Amino acid sequence: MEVVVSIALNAAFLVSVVALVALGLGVIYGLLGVINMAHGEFVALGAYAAFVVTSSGAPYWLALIVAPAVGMVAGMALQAGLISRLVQRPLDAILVTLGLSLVFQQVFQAVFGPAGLTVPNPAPGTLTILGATFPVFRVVVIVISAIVIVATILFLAKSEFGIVVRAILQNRDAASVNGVNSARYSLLAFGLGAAVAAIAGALIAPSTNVVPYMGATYLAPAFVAVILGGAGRPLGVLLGAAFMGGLEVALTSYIGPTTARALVLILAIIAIRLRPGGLLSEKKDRFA
Amino acid sequence: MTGNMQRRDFIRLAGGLGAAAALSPMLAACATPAAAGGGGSTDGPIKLGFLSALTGLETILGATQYQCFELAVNQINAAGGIAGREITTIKEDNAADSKQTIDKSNKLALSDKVTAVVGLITSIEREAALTVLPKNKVPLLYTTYYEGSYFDAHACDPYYVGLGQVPNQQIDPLVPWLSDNVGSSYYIVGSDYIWPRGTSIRLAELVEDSGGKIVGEQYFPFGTTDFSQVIRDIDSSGADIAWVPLAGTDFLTFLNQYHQFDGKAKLVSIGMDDVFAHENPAAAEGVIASQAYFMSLENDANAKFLKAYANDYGADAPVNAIGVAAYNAPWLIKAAIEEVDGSTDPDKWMPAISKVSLDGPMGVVSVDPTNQNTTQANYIGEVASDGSIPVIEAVQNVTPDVPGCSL
Amino acid sequence: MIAKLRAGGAGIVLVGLLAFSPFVLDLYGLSVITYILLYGVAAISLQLLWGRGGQLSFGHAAFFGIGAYIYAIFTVKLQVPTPLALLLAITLSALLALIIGYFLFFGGVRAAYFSVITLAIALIANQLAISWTPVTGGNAGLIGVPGLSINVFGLELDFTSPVGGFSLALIVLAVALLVTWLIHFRRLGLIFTAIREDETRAAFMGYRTPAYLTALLVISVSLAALAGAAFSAVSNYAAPDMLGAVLSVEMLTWVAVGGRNFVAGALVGVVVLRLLNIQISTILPTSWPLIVGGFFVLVVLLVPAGLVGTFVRLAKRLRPRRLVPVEES
Repeated sequence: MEVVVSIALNAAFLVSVVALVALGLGVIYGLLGVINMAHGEFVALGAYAAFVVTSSGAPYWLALIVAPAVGMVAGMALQAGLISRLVQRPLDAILVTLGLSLVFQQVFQAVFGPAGLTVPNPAPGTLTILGATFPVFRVVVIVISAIVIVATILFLAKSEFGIVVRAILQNRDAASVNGVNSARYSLLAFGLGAAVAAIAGALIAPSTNVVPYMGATYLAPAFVAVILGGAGRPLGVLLGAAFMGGLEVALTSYIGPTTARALVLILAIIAIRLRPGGLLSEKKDRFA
Repeated sequence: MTGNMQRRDFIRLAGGLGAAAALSPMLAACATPAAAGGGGSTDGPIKLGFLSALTGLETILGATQYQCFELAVNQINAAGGIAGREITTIKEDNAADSKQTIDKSNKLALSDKVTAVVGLITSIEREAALTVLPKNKVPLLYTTYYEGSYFDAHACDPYYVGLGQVPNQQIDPLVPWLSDNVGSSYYIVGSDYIWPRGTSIRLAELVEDSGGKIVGEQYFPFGTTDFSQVIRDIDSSGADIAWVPLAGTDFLTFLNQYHQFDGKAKLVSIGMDDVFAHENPAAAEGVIASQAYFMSLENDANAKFLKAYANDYGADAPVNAIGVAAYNAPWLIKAAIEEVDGSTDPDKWMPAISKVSLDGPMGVVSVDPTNQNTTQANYIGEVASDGSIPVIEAVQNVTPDVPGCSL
Repeated sequence: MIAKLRAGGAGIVLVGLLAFSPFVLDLYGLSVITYILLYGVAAISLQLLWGRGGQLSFGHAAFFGIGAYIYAIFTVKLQVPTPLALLLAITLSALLALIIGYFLFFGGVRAAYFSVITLAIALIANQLAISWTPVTGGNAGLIGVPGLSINVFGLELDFTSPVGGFSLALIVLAVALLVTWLIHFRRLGLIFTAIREDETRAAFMGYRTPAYLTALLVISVSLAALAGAAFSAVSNYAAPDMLGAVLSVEMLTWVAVGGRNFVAGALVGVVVLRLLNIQISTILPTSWPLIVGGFFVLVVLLVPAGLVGTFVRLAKRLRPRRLVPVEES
């Protein structure tokens, strides 16, 4: 029993983190057709924001507002300044974000130095849940992630912004014929995606070591999760994240971490092959 | 039809030309003398190359290593250089990448013609540099503790000196101390590569001999962000000791999460040093470390070294064994070259390097003539709440054991 | 027809001029150009798949590295003669590509989905190389890999010296150029272009598009593996980062900077970025990625067709007739 509970709790934590990163990536990809290769750097940006907040003496919780605000501004600036010039060239936009990820890492290193930085645990202590020991702060992370994820999905489903976004997703040309100013929505979408990634960074920071290159580790699983879920389907992305994070935690103790990581990737490849349109799609659309 | 004919002729022509073009230089090569070793000149400055990870994940280690190296070179130059000749340095980054290491090693050996190369962090960098430097007769002084000869690692060469500790030096003194003071059942959590796996083989031998037990063993890929499941496994195994040879950032992530989960087993790591402890003292507190150097060592050379280092690089900049070995390297090169009357011919001064010894910040060190690794002290310490590592036990003059290496 | 001859002639002139390198360069310069040629072949293999087939591989270093490892494992662990190991590196990689192509292309996997899967393949291959220590040497890699030396039918060719290694790289480049030249000026090239522009229409015209894409993948992977095997023969080393995500991304930048629609673009991109990397990393050892990354961003923003693509466009604008004998599509 304890084993099952502990796997479930640990999986819930990792899935929350992967889902947050993937959700932002998925919103940007769905709307702009751009795989934001610098998305990991927005995660790092959020983590550094948390460091700046806590090291200035302010409470950690303030970082949960500061980080997404900084992320949103940075994301919008990136979209307005660079990505918007590449509207008809999504592939070039991917390449630009790839180059930017290198640039951002060096900027982080120049500003904060190469040494790892620490964000103190704001909620120390552990709980015992059905026999399993679990840190209080991890419960906090899971709850906050869930709130952010649900809010984002509801926002995409109910708000005017979300409705237009989904219209653009379904048919960009038709949407623009109907007078939708897709540039403004692209700007908002990029800002939203970056803000969610930055929250993820702020939530991760107290459980890890904040270094300039930390974003890269989160990009690959999130990237696979987005494709697994089917572009532009927030629920699918969530499922993709559950696949990547959940399987890894569940398998690690039994077949070893390395084999688990490789096996998860192999299973993901097979899943993408069998459901090219995403885990939630019908089995059709042979040409993605 | 005509087109086809044309193309066929074309291919024949192309093939012929290509082969001729490629073969001619090969023939010419027979007449060219083999690559001459660098640094054989007898006057002018002595060039030393520094090669390590100055960008990428290992940057903090490479940067510390460089500063220590630079400090030694500055001190030697201020005191008159090597046999009256000034040292100049060439600093190169390998980004912890094998291909970049090969290119930069080629540059240092063939273009800059340095007298020796100092530096490198990981096994992949060391092995890559060793594919280039010895065949060009450029000595490599590697300053990181490593896995010795486990898994056919090839760090056994007349043009190679290992200044870091090999497994027997860090682990042999540690296991008996742990049996006396902590316990005898171990759970190993390492990064999945050659250093953790190699050193753990040595650990397993010693633990078995002393009647202890390895109760679990897991190796994680680089870039692991979550260790929660293995922390739970350590707890439920009831091990006395969590032995954690994790690398770089993953190590600190693990410490952080172990602290969050309030893990019970005592943490022991042969990778823990002042640089890591300094990054997150709260998470590192209480970890048992075993190294050739801690900043807390009390001797005159160390006091002078730390004062000079703080003066140049800031009062709160931590140093570790990798750095101090890089500080020792130019001093050893100086002593060896002066031992053979100032000759920079590597065939003369490299054999002399095992005849000299150095009393530096980590105590007395000397290069073992059998395997050209370093006889040095080992210190066991426990990380304090401020990130310093007071020494609990010291063993002087531990000889390096590199099975299969006899030069 | 004229274009065909011009392209072929340009290739021969290039290889012929390069053959003088050992006479004008010092040993370090020779080692730099040797590796540039091998990276160039890797870039050409990626250009083939991306520029010609429209399928972008995010993990192409996997195939370069698999070639390097197969050559290294067969020579170091199994003492197979070096020419045989080279052939095995190519054929086994081609076989792998056949399986991957069958599995993915016949299953309808394209575009971003293909990119993500190739990235996953590179991550798996990299992890396998690090963890499977008894076979791959783990993260220290395989050392003591012998250089290529051929001794059959009285023919003796030794590629183990620095000049020999350069010669091997040059021959490998010539092979790659020949392969791309043959593809471009055959019907095959037109079919690939048709598939890239509109796969559905190409399928309607009766072409079995998955089969053609699989064939393209096999050719591309074989070239990448050839470059990798030669890399390992020249450097006497095979290491896990030869098949990881970092090199994959670097390969992408080479092709993008040079111009993804041109074989010459792949080569120019490698030359420009490698030389930039080598120079800048010596001048600014702690911050060079900033310069290289910034340069890459600027090229993509300002000259999206790549250096060669932009040059060709300008040349076309100046004169109505095609001027530059490089592949264009």
